[in-house]
Amino acid sequence: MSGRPNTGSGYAAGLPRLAAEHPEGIAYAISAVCWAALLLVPAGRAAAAFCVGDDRLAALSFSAGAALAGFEWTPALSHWLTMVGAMMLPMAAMALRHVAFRSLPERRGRAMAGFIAGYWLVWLAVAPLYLLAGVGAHVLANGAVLPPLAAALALAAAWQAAPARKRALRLCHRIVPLPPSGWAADRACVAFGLEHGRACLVSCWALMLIPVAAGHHPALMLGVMAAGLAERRIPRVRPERGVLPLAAGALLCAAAAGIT
Amino acid sequence: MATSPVRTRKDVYKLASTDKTLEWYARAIGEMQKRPLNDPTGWRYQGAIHGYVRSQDPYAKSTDTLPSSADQTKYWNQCQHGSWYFLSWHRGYLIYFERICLAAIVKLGGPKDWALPYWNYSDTKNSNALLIPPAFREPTTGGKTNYLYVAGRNGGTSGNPPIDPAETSLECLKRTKFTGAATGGSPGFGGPQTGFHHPGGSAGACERTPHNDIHGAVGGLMGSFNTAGLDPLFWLHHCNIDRLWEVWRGRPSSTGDPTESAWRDFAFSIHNETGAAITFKSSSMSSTSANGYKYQDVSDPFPTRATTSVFASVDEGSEEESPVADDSAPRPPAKLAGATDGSIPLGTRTSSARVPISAPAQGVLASVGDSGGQRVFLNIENITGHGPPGSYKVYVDVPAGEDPADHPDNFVGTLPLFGLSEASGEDDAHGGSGLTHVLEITDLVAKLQNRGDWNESDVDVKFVPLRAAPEGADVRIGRVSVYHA
Repeated sequence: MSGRPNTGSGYAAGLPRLAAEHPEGIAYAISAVCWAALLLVPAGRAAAAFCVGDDRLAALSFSAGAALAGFEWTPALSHWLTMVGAMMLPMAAMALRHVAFRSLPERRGRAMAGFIAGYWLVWLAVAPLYLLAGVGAHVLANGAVLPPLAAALALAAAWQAAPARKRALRLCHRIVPLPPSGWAADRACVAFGLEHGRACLVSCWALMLIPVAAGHHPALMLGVMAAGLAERRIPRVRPERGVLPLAAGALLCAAAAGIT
Repeated sequence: MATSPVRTRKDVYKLASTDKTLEWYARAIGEMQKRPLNDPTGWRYQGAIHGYVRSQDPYAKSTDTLPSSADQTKYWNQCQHGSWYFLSWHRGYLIYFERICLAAIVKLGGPKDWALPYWNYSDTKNSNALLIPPAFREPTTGGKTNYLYVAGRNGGTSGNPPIDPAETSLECLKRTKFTGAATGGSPGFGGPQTGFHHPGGSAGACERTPHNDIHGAVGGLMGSFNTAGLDPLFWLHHCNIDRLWEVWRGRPSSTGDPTESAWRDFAFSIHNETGAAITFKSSSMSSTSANGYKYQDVSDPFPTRATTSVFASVDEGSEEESPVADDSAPRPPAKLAGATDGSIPLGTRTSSARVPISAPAQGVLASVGDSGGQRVFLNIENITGHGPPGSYKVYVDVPAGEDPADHPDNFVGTLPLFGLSEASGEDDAHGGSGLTHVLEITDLVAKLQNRGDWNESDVDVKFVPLRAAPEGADVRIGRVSVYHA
């Protein structure tokens, strides 16, 4: 063999190679850190102030005014963003991979940061709605967990196979051309993050209500994340398949709560 | 799974005058066309496996009974494109279609060793190779319906689509790796690793040319995923693509089919000749003989070298002088060297794009001409639009003001837009991300550098209409970029 040498001969396996081939791994790394914060750091657990069933909220009297008056916004929002990072960021990993490989190497980190910022911003924008939903459900259910959980599961079952949701799921696979440099590149990366975040929000808003309604139980959070990832990554997983387990869960919770 | 004896798929242009292969094929089609839309062994059902949109069904009638929604999801719209499953899925599709045809032929009293023929449009020894085989051109034969004919093909009954020789290039065979990248680098022979992947994305080298080119060149039903299987010529075209996989596998430089479980064990659903539902895995598609058939000719069109160049020109006989690119060893992913800021419309006239190369990449690309080991790839990304698939010839760094046609050395490949509509709607599986094609331009960059004509700060790209996208098709390239690896 003559001619061009193969420059790949010195391309050894290991972490640098993994990082080079899978820059989207940063999404999973951030997710892992967020999970650790949610599960291990006491402050993280305490910050779950707006979750139904949380001890601090349970201590409040069951009136909307009292609940909101005793509400701690800063830890609640930080907890919400941590939860989004833990559960939702892995779902954006393939879009993040697109951003990484379609950006100039010297701008890759900046481009990925812009995308993640845009993605997170979408979920930050709707945080008050989830917060109010949590408090409202808590007040209406008089502190009980099962009735709001049953309602959240029923809502998720109803939304699961809706045409608008299927369309949003398809948009979760959408990739866009990105300008290579300058302000246009920064803007495009943030805009792509916003667009991708919006598609994720439309497809998963009801699923995200489930852990909110159930006091952010780790098993439910993991379950919602797994379901979202399965829909995006496993070939030919049809959204319709999620309707039955969600509806069954809703019925079980309703039955356990004595709602007939 | 195997049937015996092993049947031979023959070159349609080399069939003896007394050979009845096409006659029996036509009779099998006639039988299959009698079957209803929801019969898995029927002609229309077989076409729907590749793609089906009710509004595009040329044979739709009010009395049609459609399969259940679940069956449509499982068995229709299954064709794999822009994916490393492209070759294995289409092989399985061909095998079971052929068995359905064979069962119909045997039932009619025909030969048990019947096999589909293939159309070798790349055969440079056959002056008619670029013409649609004669048996497929006329609506009637002997006063009776010719089931091999469908209306709407480009060129009509002349049988001359026309096809540009560049569209039948076999450069794809010179790829050493099966699996390519969807991140800017080599597309590989077989395409990038994906999950189930119906429309859109980044095509492998064989899928792009000649596969996509021929679909677009023949046009008519062949021009759309959702009707392609309804043209009898489709099956001969895909037999040839399937044959090229065998040719590639036999080349000394080829590194073989994927070994990953994600490829080998991925299963597809289909029906066999009895109408029974079955599944097949990509790994079971690696052997033709195990599946009961072989090809008349799988000889290597570039037999003179043990190791081949991915840059060498097929026609110029310049292989001995060309550098060698071995993409069989692991290499870092390709890196972006530069890209256009905005989109580029494609129409009936030549379109241009200027790709500014970043300062760090200029230094890297400067070594291409002196065997620095760098390879260079032109990416034509996120192409969207509608209407029949057009095609363009792509030229790089043609001197300013000059006609690209006067600079064949600067021609780097075709841009076939088969699958464009399917990949451009928000209802498509990838939200309308469009098509992406990758052309390797290493050899041209090296030549330009050796001639002192390389402009290190910009790469000029021209898209010359071969079959221009129709007016109103709104065909647009999202971005043109240059990668190095």
